This record gives sequence, structure tokens and C-alpha cells, in this order.
Amino acid sequence: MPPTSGQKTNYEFRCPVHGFIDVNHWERSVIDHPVFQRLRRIRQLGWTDYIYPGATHTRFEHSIGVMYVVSRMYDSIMQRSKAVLQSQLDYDPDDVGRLRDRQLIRFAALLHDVGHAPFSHASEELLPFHADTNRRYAHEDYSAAIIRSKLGEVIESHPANENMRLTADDVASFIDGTSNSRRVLFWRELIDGQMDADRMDYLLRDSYHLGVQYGKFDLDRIVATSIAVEMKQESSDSLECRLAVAKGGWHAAVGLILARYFMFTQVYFHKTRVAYDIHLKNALSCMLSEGLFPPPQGEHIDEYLGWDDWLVLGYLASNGGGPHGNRLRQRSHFRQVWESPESPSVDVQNMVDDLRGALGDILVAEDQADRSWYKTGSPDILIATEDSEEVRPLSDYSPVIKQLKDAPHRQVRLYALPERAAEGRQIADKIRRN
Amino acid sequence: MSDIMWWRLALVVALVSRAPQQRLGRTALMKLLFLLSAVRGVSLGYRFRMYTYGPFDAEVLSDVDYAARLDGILVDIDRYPNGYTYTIRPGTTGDAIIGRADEFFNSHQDDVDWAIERFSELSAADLELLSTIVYVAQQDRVKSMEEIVNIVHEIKPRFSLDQIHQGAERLRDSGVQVV
Repeated sequence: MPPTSGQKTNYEFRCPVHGFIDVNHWERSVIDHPVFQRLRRIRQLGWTDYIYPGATHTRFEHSIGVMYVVSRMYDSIMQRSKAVLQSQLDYDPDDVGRLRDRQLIRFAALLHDVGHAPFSHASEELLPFHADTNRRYAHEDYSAAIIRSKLGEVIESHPANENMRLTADDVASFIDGTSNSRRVLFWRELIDGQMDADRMDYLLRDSYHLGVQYGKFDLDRIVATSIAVEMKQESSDSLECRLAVAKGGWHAAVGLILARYFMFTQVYFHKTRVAYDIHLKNALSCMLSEGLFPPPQGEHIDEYLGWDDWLVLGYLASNGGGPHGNRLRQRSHFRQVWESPESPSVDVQNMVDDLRGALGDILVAEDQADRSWYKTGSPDILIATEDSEEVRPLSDYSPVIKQLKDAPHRQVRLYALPERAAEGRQIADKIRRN
Repeated sequence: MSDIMWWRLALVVALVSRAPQQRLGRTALMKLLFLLSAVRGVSLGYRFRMYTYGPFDAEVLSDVDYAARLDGILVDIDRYPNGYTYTIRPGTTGDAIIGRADEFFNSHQDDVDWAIERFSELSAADLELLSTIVYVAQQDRVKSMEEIVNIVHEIKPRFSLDQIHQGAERLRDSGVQVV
């Protein structure tokens, strides 16, 4: 794959999932920046190595992998969907903007996770609330703020940028969804959408490192069949540009959705992994001023960037983290006493209320699938003919996907202290039998 | 299940039940939830981002699927050339789901009334335009009405400048501060 900056490729990363990944000088200078190097100290899956010992990989390699996958998808769509891209997004066949957009997307993919807190999603509930919207910040908000405040020089002043004139704000607004560019709003589906490169990379990468097969799918086929289509909007005759899989690739799309489902049920929402997330979050809360990370603004950004896994592990090694720090050190995690079916009915949801009451103070924590950061999400990828005449949801083609759509994963798990787990399970059994 | 999940499901059911002819398209539902979040502060944890098809959060789709799983709503697909849509109608357990969100409706009944009375009769295309105007207007960097209109036109060229101006007027008439 050719580099995009106009310079010849000078660097390669050996990726265990994708093989050699080329980066150009410009990208290499961003990768060398301390903000990106910090990702070497942010584990991809938090404390998951206590369940799957191989899960010690970091956001560093994932970010480079997402850049690789997104580039392949971009190139494939550009090649296959010239007419749609021309009519919908005004791309001419030799539009120089194509190179600029490709580089922008590569930077957005590379940098989309620079705002992660220590141990990735496990600590995301400790991000503060936005004063105006009363909504909790997300790691993407930190990524965007860090790019704007720390990476302007390295992005904007590189010689390769002389003709492209990319700005840090271009990259940040791609990530946080504040771009006003129609092209960007289309392409950002490749980083934050139903079939995005982020998920595609982490499913394959997590499977590789954990030693499981659940997250594997046919990436080559997905890439080769990814297209842009013109979809007619409800109650309007106009057409919108949407990302889809060509009809011939719908089985590969099923493979991707099933990979998401299996990884969610077997890894991301694993009962013990969830328990360790609870301990990690509470231990971290004890280490932070007022129990929360600083906001993504002004001078707080440097303070935030000082937080990485090494710092947290240092606190834990010094007996920090309060009672939950002790549990992490001693592997004395909460024990699951009850779990619901994956897609609980109303009756089961009512039983959860009964269980809460019956368990009383035995119940120390609970989690539910819809609160997980690794949601399975809607399984409905668009499937379309190349001429866009037929655009339908994947569930129209696949009974398996229809079933997943009709029974969304909303499992509930209830936890007790290890020493009270047996008692809790007895109570839960009694309620269940009644 | 947490209160907020019941609140989300109950809000979906309530909006569908009170829509004209008790039918609501999925796009319209998405945009009503966005307007409730962006204008009235009824966010319920949704995080809407802008795409070519307007403000969107995939969690809404997941909630629609689960509300249907609980029989709180019925969802039918309508296919047509170049696309498809979903039509949502009330299901058999809607009242029971709404009943689990008393606390929410005690605090937000007027917000739900606002969304239904002002916007539920609009087409999906109109709601997409209005919600895009609101999204753009809430960006920190946007200052003037002209700027808002031009940005919305860049994002959605299928709407003319006049249509966008009229959309902004309609929002103002509904008490939504655009600038």
C-alpha cells in the first residue's frame, strides 16, 4: 500500500495480526510523539489477563492496526464506488482531495484512542461530567482535546503537509463528530460505525492475543465488498451516501456480526472479567482527586496524560487503591451468584427485582450487558447491490442475524463477596424455583 | 435492569403510543430522542454524533430492538427501491413498561408533551433537517444564523438554503433557541 504523504515509505511495523504495516515519515513523527507513545502503557483490555493470560496487548498496536484496516477499506471503496462517490461527495476520478482525505482518515484512525484512560474502558466511568450538558465525557472527547492541544505542531508543520494543509482540528473534529465536512461525516463511519475498522481490528487482535477463535472473521472479504451506496431516505425522494457491504459479501458480514457476538459473550462480558472491571474502577477512584479524572480542558490535559497503567500499578504496588486494590492484589474478586438469560423477558426482569430484594446486603455489585463499553450493538449492516437499487438490512438475508436482532443481548449479572457467594446462590436458586 | 434502561424503553414506548395514528418511523424516533436530549436535556445517557444522515446513536436502535423483544412495541420493515424503513407501533406490554418509569414521567411529562405536540407530525426528512440544525447550532465554534445555515447546507445539500432558513424559523417558533 503506498504511503500518502508523497514521500516513500520508510518505516514498517511488524503486526502480529496484519503482517507488516507501512507508515510514512509524517505518521512516524506522530507515532514518536510522547502522547502516542503513552499508548504503550495503556492495556487494550484492562485486567483481562487475569482470565485470559495472553491479554497483555496495548492500545499502541491496536491504533496502528486500525490505521491499516481503515486504509484498506478506504482504498477498496474508492475503487469500487467511483460513481456514487462522485455524485454524492463530488469526488472526481483524479481529485487530489482523495489523497488528503486518505491521510486525514489515517491520522484519525491512528489517534482515535489517544484519549484513553488507564486500563482502557475499565476506567471510563471515572471520566467527569461536562458542565453544560451534564453528560459524562467519553474517551473520544479526550482524544480530540489532546490532538488539538498537543499534536498541532507535529501534524501541521511537517513538510509533507505543505500541499495538504491538514490541521489538528481536522483530525480532532473527525473523531469527535464536530466536522462540518460532508465527506468526513461519511468516512467517519469507518471509525465509528456499524462496520468500523476499530471493531474489526480489535476483534481480530483480541482473539489473537487471548488465544481464542471467537473474534475471527473474513477481513479480506469484508474489505473487498465494502461499498458506498445511494440510499433513499424515509419520506423523501433524495438519496444519501451510506456505507454498505455488496450483496456478494453478506455471508462475510454475518461472520463479522457473529464474531462480535461471540467475543462479547465469551470475553468482554465474561463474568470474572466484569468483576475485575468493578474492582479496578473502584481502586482507581480511590487514587483520583474527588474520585474522577481531570476534565479534557486546558492545563488539566497534562495531568490526565500523566495517568497510565504504570502509574496505577505503582499505586497498587504501594498498597494503594483501598479495599478494591486489596482485592486486585489478592485475586479476591466478587463472585457471580446469578445471571439472567442473554435476552431476558419481562418476567425475568421482574425476577431480577425480586432477587435484589431477597439478596439484600449480600448483593454487592451488578452489571448488565447494555452498560458494557463493548456493546454488541445493532446487527443490521446495510447490504446493497452495486447500483444501489436494492438496499436492505443484513437481517433480511440471514435468519441468524434476524434472531440476534430480535433477542438483543441484555444479560444481567449479580455479584456477592467471595465468602457470601454460596449463600447468595442458594437464595437465587430459591427465587428462581419459585 | 437499571432505572435508566426502563426510562429509555418507556420513553420509546410513550413516543410511539402518542404519535399520530400511533405509528412512528425509526428515523423520526431517533430524531425526537435527539431533540429531547439536545433541547430539553433529557439525555438518558445517549450520545448522539453527526453522520450524513443526521444525529444518530446506535444505542437507540438497540433499545428499539429490546423494547420489541419485550413486546412493548411492534416493528415492521417497509422495503422500497433504494432503501427501507421501519415503522413502529404500540405492543401489548407498553403500559407495563411505562409503569416502570413513573419517576421519569413525573419529572419529564412536559418534555414528552413538548416533543409530541411540536414535532411528532413532521416527516422524517423534516425532523432530520431540524435535528441537524440544532446539532450544528450547539457546536461551540458556530456563531451566527448564516453560519449555521451554510454548514447545514454543506452537510445536507439536498436541503436548499431557503428550506434550512424555514427549518430554523420553525425551531424558533417552537421555542428552540437556535442562535
